[in-house]
Amino acid sequence: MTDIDPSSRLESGKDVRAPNRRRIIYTIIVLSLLLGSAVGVGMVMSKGGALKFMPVTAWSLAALAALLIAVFSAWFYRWVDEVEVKDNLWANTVGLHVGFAIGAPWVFLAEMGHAPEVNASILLLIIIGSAALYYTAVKLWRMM
Amino acid sequence: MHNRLRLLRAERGWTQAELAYRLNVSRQAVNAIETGKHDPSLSLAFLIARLFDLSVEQVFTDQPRD
Repeated sequence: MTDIDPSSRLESGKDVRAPNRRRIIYTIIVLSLLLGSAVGVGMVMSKGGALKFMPVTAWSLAALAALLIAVFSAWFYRWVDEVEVKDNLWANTVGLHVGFAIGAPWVFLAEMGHAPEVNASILLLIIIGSAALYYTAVKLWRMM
Repeated sequence: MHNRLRLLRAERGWTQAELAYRLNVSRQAVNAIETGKHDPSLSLAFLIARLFDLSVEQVFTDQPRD
């Protein structure tokens, strides 16, 4: 925005300028990343035996996390007007939901012996792949 | 949602970058709103209306204008 003549800013139209919400948006994103990392570390510690959860507690926490993500997404995404940030957020959300939709049945089927053991690398590839696919599709749509 | 943002901006001789500066969003956001590929948040819609000294309904409609 440095190419705008400062003297012309207040001449035409009303003296209206929006407050800068970018700092709040990026703070929320960083806090979300930290929370997500904490959940990831907790899961690894749980898997390694350092943290012990009853199965009901673990699944309740997973359900609560899924619910929080959905509620947070519905509130926060409508609030974001930066299309680049929004596209990235949606791509990550799509990736997570595809991963959850495939990962959860896979875990159940594997526990019942109807599917091979869950492969985290494959699941991660599916998450990243679906996020990248969504992001590419949105970018192409915006270019049309 | 449809809007008259491009027309209103052109009437004032502003570029997308100048409007984006006033709205404190990126030029890409202004472009996406003008092309109907992004519906602004309610607070941004009100700000746009206030910037052009119009009501929200005069800028944004749910049906295309004739």
